[in-house]
Amino acid sequence: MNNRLKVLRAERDWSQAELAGRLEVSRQAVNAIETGKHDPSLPLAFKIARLFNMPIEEIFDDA
Amino acid sequence: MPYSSEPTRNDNAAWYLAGGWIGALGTMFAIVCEVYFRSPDLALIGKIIALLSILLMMNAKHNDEFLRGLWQAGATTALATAIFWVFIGPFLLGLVDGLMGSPNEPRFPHEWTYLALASGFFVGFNWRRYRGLT
Repeated sequence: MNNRLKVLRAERDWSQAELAGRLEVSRQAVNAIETGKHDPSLPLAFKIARLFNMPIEEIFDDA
Repeated sequence: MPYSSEPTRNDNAAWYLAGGWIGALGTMFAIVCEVYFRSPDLALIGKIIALLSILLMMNAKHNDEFLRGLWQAGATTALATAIFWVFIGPFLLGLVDGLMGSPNEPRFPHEWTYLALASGFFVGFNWRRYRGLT
């Protein structure tokens, strides 16, 4: 699944570790999501969407 | 504030992922010792390394969903390997032996079950880690 996590993170000047801290996951998990190695669960996807104040569909794309 | 536990969480994850590599190398070392050097004593070192890696990894496997997913991938592959090694493989070989009339010799030795399972676990774990869900 494609996602804009890296772009959104860069716009806010957050490191992977900072984003991981806000999402309460490991930095390695954030890296895996950004590189497409891991698709977040629904609760985590909602958490990400709430953190960036955007709909899930604007962050993740399964096309 | 979530940042207070952040270094610990990331450190645990780093150790967890390192365990995936260390255990895989230990397993490969044990297999080489068993197959090429025919030295079970030397292979024991690799087996212990693999076992210690898994024990180390158990500490952090539930830290977050990504780490949990890696563990589940490894466990699933290990289970599939176990089923094949203990049941399906010997059955198929026995079937072939019976059809061909060749002597029935054990070619899935039970002494190698641990290595087969460990191999399955680390293959599944690292495949999921580096290839994702593909």
